[in-house]
Amino acid sequence: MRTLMEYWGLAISGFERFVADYKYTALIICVLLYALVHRKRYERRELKKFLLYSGGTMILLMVPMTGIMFLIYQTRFYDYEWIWSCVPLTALLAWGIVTVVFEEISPEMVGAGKTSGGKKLTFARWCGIAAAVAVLFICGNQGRVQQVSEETIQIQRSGEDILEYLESEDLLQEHVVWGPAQIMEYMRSHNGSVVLFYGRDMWDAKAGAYDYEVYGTEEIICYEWMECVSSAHNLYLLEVEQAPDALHEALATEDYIRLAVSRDVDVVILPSQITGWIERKMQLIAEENELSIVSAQVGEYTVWVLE
Amino acid sequence: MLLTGINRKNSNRMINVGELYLYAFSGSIVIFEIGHLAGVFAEIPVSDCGRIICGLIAAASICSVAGLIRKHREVLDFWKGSCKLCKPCVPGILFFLLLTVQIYHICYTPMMQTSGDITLETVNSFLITDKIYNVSPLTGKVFGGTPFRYEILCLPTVYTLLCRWSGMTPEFIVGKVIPLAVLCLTYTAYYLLSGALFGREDACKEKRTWFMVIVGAVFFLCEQSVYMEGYGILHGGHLGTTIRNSVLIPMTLYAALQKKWILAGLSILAEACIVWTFWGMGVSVIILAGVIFTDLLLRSNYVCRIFSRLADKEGNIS
Repeated sequence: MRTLMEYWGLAISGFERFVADYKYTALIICVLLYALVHRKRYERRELKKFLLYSGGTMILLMVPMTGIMFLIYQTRFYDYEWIWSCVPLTALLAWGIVTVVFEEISPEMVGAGKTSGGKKLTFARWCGIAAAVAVLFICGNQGRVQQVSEETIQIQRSGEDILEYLESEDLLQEHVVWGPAQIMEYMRSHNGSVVLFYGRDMWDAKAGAYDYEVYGTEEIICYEWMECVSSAHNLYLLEVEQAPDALHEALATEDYIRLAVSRDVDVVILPSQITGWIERKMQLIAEENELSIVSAQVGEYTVWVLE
Repeated sequence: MLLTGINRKNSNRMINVGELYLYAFSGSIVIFEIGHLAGVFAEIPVSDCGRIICGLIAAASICSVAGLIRKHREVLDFWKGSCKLCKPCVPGILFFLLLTVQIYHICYTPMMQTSGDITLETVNSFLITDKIYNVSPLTGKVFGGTPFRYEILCLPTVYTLLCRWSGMTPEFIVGKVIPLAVLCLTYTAYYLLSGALFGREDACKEKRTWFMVIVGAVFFLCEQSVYMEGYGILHGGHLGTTIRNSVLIPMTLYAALQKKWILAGLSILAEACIVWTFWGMGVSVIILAGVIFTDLLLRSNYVCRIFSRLADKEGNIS
């Protein structure tokens, strides 16, 4: 259980994060102030309820003490930002923009177009809408919608190739696969037959709902070794002969592969750049376990199969 | 939807097509949950759960249609042709342009991996084993330790059954089909909500259309973080939190404002089936309770009295 002070800290830091990310908060406060000033204009009961509910909830969320109550309600499995789901932010913002444009910038708009001043009013309305969209544009992502990075796409392609290779060689059933995190992630999410040494919750705690699997020290040190020898940065340094000591130490030992094989791993995926360092060690481990070893280069990776 | 006009005679008694979609959606979620729970607790194979769900959906559909025809005969008139196309307007065209861009983005860009999202792994596990949570979705190893809060949520079963029935791959169903369906439901819910905020009269149609344009623009321009609606719509339409924030919350708000208690109740149930909260009630309950509370406040005229006192004070100062 978290203490009250921890919740206080979460509420404060969470609010700071939220305001930094969601820059429309200021606009929404302006909308609420506008609605408060012009409250007598609104006859519709639904609208009054909507504004009163949104304003009230927003105040409750902004005050740390009441914000904490929402945090407790939504449980520790959700981040602070999710409590803002209680306020219909998008609807409030859109209502505010439309109302300001129609009632302030071009108030006689309703039924306009037939009057002599109709064109001017329409122009004013367009300017108002354009200004609002410009503000949304500046406060938002400026039209740069997030995309999957090229590096990730490249890794996913490698994962696809390796998956195809394992399928063609009938190596998916009853085999335990061990490899770089993103390759394993891709393989497991695209084929339910793949069995992994450890899952995505090793590097993404949220994926395991914080208590899906509890990994022992052996899995954790094997994961750290694998990420050290397959990191793109380390491999680049290895190519230019400036590899850090940690990588040299990792490449000098076969203990981690031996440990993984003792935990039923029989398919190991490693970057091709380190094949020279690994080849002899894999053969040694295969001999120790009285297994045969087969290797195949698939794209930028080498797949080692112990059978 | 925006370019069509509906005969508004007896509009209160008329069944709204948008509402029908939302009733069907939330009702289906509840039915899927029943099948899913049967699979979890009775350890029935996923394929058998599908048969149970099909039966329940068929029964519910027959009952709903019969009930609609019996209680709201006007709905038949609506289908007979009182629905007429109205003149296309500039904001309507703008909205459709925005919608097209969003559909294009969902269909033609690679799916982003959201931290904590294990839907694809779970669906693949269900498809391979034909059992619910028989193996760990993350490793594929046999285990028996699924957290209860994951076990009771039905979305992976829904997607698994859709994959099985349609023959499509989980990546296509989860990454494209469901996000597109969620996008349509989102705009339906927001369009209904705009009716509650601006009124349903023809005079308000332009305001409602502009409202939809702004909502679409906000979705497109505000998607930097996972908790933002735009992120959910564009990058994670299959997530339970996206369905809650983009469909169920506007739907609950609309239902609460219009005092449509069955729709509000279904929304609360649907949320409990797809997003886990400790109390099993979620955000929809807060919204419903909040709107009922504000309604009571307005009825008691308490707020109005406070505001009038404030106004008096302002007058005295000036």
